[in-house]
Amino acid sequence: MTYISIISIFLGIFLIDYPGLKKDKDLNEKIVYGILFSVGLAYALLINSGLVKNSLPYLVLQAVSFFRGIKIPPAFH
Amino acid sequence: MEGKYPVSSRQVLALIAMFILGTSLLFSLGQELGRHSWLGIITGFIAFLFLFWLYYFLLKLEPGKSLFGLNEQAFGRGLGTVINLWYLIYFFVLLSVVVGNFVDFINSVILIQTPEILLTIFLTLTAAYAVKKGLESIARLSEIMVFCVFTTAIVVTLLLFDKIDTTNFWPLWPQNWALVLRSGFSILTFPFGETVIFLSIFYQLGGPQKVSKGFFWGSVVGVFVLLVIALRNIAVLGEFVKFSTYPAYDSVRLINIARFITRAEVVISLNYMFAGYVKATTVYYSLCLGLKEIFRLKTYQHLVLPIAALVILNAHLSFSTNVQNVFFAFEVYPFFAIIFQLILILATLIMLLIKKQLGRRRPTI
Repeated sequence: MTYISIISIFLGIFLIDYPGLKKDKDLNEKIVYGILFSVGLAYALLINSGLVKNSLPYLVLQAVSFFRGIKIPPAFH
Repeated sequence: MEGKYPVSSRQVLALIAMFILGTSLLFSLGQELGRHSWLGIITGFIAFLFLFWLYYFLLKLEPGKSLFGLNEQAFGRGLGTVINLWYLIYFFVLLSVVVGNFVDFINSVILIQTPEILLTIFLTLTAAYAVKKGLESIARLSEIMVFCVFTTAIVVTLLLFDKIDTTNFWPLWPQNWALVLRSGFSILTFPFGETVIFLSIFYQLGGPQKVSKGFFWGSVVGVFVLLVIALRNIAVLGEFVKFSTYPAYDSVRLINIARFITRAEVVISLNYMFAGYVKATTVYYSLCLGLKEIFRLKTYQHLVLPIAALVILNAHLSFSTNVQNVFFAFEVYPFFAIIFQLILILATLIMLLIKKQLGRRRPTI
């Protein structure tokens, strides 16, 4: 059910943007849109399947903690 | 909707003030200092004046260019694009954290039973709507809201007058000045240094003179309101400010005038949401503008919704507990943000100055 909701939400986004994209002659715009859209869809599906659990802010947290040599408190996990 | 905006100096002031107040209204700045948090705010603001001077100098050096354009000019197309992509990551992280913080707040004190993901979706989509409408609408909204936030901060402080205990301020000077400096550093990066994102917007608003006036006075209004709130919280809650998650909210809950004027925290929550909304929208707008510039697009309109989807997912997953959020804010964020707010800006400025000097020395035939 969640997968269907995710796909419908992204389909909704695409349908909202489609008329504008169709009018637009700029190929660059379509490519950037396509990349962002597919990254978003893939990320949502991967999160739902449990394969991805981290967000970008969490990756930053891990990276900075590593470089500063500080431990992330165990309560985080 | 994109291009030059008829935004007045007063609107720039309001935009900056609301941006600074954004999430800082929620958390107590310099919380680790307890009753001396006001000293941390002043230290952070004094340090920010140097950053302000740096940003102003950069604006004056190349008036018609955005932060992304300046990076490309200073470092060349290749390295400039890499640096710009790093800036976009910073903007994206900031946006996800701001949205996440506000959803956490709403979910823990106002709409406790509502699923977090729904709040994230609605907050992000309303921000996306404002971004689609353009900067002018965000600036107009800020102009109205800054007045409300300012008045509420003063009125609420007056209503809490009978709860104020001036002995809460004693001892006035802290024993650990190193902690004050450390806290000042945190406050410099959040919220003052975050105004670096305006370097990607200012070129649309007019000349550096007009913009910097609004920028400076907006920061002054922001720090004034933050100081009033910090002093009020200390006067009412005393050392408890150290342990409260939302000290301003907790202090306002104590308002009780003849059992008639109570539950003023609802007004405060609305203020928080408006300020946070303006902040989220401004960062969102800069992110879209950045993508537009880096990929040489004609418009950013089509990118708004896919970015919203990514923000919703990241904000929802960002931090699972408030402890994690506080750890990020005080131990991680300052060291991450200072790279974008000071180090890269300084590098860009130095490179531009060197290039200008070399250009002058080159003999003309």
